[in-house]
Amino acid sequence: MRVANKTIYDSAIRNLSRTSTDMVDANEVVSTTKRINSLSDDPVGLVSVLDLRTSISNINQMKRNISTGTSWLNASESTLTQLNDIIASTKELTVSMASGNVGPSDRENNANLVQGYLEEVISLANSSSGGRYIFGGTNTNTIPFTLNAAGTEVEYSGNDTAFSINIGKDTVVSVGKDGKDIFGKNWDDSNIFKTFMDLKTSLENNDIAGIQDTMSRLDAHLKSVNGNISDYAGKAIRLDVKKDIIGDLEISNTERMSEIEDADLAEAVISLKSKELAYNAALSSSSKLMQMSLVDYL
Amino acid sequence: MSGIGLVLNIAKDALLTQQYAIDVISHNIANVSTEGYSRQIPLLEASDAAPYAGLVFGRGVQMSDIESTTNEFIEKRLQISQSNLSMMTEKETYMNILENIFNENSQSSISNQFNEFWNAINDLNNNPSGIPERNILTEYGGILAQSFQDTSNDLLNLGNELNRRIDAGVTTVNQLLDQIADINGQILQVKITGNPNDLVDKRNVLVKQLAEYIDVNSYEYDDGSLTVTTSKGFVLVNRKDTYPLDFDGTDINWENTSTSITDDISGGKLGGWLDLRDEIIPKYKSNLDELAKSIIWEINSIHSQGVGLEGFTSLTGSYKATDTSVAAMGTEASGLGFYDKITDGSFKLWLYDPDGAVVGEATIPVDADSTTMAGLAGTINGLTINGQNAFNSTIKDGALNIEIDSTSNSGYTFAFSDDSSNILSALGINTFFTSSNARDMGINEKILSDKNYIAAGKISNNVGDAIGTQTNTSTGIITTSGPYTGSADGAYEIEIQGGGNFRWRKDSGAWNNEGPIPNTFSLGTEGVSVTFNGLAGDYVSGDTYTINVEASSDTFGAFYPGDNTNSLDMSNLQYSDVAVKQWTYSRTDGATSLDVTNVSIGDYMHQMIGSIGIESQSIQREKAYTETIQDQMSATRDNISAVSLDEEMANMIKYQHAYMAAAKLITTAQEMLDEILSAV
Repeated sequence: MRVANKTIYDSAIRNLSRTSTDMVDANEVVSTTKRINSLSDDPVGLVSVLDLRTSISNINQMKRNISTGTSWLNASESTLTQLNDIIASTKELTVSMASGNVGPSDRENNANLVQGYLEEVISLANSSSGGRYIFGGTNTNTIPFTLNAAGTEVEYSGNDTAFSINIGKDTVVSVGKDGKDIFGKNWDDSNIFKTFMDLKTSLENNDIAGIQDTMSRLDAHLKSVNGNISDYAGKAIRLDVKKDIIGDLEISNTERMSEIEDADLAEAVISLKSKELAYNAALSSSSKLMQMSLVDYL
Repeated sequence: MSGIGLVLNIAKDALLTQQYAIDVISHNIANVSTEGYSRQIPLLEASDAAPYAGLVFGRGVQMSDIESTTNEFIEKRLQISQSNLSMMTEKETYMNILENIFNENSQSSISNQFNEFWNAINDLNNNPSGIPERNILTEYGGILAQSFQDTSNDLLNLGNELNRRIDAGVTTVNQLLDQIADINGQILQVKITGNPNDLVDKRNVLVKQLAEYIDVNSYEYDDGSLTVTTSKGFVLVNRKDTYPLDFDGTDINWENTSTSITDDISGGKLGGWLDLRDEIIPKYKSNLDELAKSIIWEINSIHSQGVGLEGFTSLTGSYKATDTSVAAMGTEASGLGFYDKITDGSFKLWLYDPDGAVVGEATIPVDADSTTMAGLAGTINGLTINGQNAFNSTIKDGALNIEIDSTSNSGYTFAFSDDSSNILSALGINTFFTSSNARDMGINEKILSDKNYIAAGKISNNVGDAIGTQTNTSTGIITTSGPYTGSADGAYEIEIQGGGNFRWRKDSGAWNNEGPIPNTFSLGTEGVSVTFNGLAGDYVSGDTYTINVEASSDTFGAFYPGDNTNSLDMSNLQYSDVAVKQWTYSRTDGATSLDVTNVSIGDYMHQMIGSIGIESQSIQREKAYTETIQDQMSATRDNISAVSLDEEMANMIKYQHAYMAAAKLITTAQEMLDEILSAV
């Protein structure tokens, strides 16, 4: 076949440009350590990568949500544990105060102690996490429990809606509580504050029957507070489990993303070397071919 | 003619002919790098023989013709493959730009901005009253909107750039047409006397250049002139006449008439640019708009149901209508972008006094087919809530404006809830994003001015919030249902009277005497109703039933800073399926759309980005394929027509030797003549 000079030059240019393009591409894979460097490198893989990236970003957010939830639960749990201790101590006090060995003056003296306990309980009921009251429902910026002006009743200014966090698709966990659920719905025997106030009054008035009455009410309070503690603990466990699950999911997602997106470095380097070799070969053969001419021999 | 004279004559012709041959060779050598040059071959033939001395003697050599090695068939194939290649090259280049516009490997990619946006909503969930969280959400919402704007503008600019290139391309085409017609004229002249080889080569180059821009056909007449038409048959050049094209900014018209040949151009750079301008770019631009529209609408329709940390004192919708007084808002004639989303329903407007306490609420009905914006403004204007005529509502520049009458009700505020008609989000009232497309997307000015207006919570008026408890003292004879919406605990009493009548009162107030016992009965307006289950005999005059009700500790109509119920709904959007359209564009059939459901906003976006990659990949493959064809075709042409220096050198030696031999012939003839002359 006739081969024109233009054919030789054209094919040399074409081969050099092809091999150098290959080499640049291979070099990009090595230097970015990514297999997908533009949308068209692997569109199907890219869509998976985008999905995984979104999922990982979401997992990290869920971790933040869970940590917010956990801090609410921890704050609530430790507050209620303290409340539990106070109620237990008060219970002990009532047992001794109800006994016939104690005189009216002792009872009256201990009324002050109970007043201290009451203040402590109110302060616990007004605990906050991250600047937000945890027992006020979603009315988180207003002190939920305050003594009324006459000092006769503790009033609730929170609401019924528990503060919730989002821990995944359509999964919402309430981590706050309507304070009335813990401290008593109405101003009656189920109300913890009222029990303390009644106890104080009974002590002041040396009313042993009254003291005995509060004793059984304190038992009921202990039971309900413990119930609430285990409720919080249960939720905390649920969050922990969720955290573990999404932690595992993050690892597996990251691995999958890496499998799709990341280059096998050894393979990439070998590929680069072979592209280099091809480019060198094209360079040397082209330069030899292009130099040859009959002109040189005439 | 005889003897030595003949020898001399033959030798002279031989010398000249070989010299001509070397002339042709030098022309070939000189044009070794000339684009489109076809090598020429000197055709030598023996001169006519003449009888002499009873014999017929040959009379030497002469050059009969200079032949060009052009192969018209190959040249034509080459033009076609050139058209395809330049089309694919342009497409590949622009797909590359498109890929960069949607650069997914950078932190600033739209999908990353989406992730950040969802995360910012989640952070607001975790601290609904937090000012930093509100600022960050506004910031990321703004960045997301900016990304949409930038991408949309990039696509728009790309379309404009293509238009400029098409314009320039049409000018180039017309220049080429003039040049081809010009060469046609020259060939017609030369052909009369001789051989227009070089002109034909030159014309072939021009036609090939033309084919780079537009797909053409060409036919050569016997007189050597070339007719060029578009591949669909519109004549561009006929002999010396041209029929130029014209670009009016949208269409390419033939022969300066209004005959558009835009959709007939399917090759060359113009074909590629038109494909990009009318099919590829509009597709991604529309799909991007769909995506923007979808996120804007979905977020807004949730946002408008909620309430921020404070009520509004004045508010203007972000969407404008073109007809506010005649066209119903739910019809296209209103000019509202989201008119089709408006349905029959209602929304609630709440009024708060300067201390933030609830004054009351009004339910405002909306009929998609009859309520006009002016009508709605009139309704709001005339509202009296618990004696307060607090609202001024007007239409400002096509948008609904609601504000508190500052003279009569200074310090009052208002808020919204329970919009079942979508009217609030369709008017841009209490919304987060503005606009309904990618290019103008932004954040509602109201939110930009005060982040407290981000509606993370909801007004507590729904059943779950305000439910009270009811107990009654009957044993199944009556049952009650709620919720009780009253603000204080209390008790209802029902007393059976003679004649099967009954009466009731609340909190030992005045008795309300009612008629005969019905099946169900509403006790006042606080949500409590009773069902009488007993038979007639069960009711004895004097029986009483008590229904104790307990008020919710949520104040009816109040909103709380720690309430994240609305932002939880917004953050759940990232998982929910939405209905979006997927657009495709065809230069011949225009735009068509496909409704896609069961796809989340993120999925839709990822698929769209993936489809750019897939399209780009297939264009790259097609381009590589056309390039191979073009290379092969080009090599075939060159192997036939292009110059090989080795070949020319060999031929040169051949003719050089022939020349030297002819010269030797002259020397020999001279010696022969000398010999004869010396004998004289």
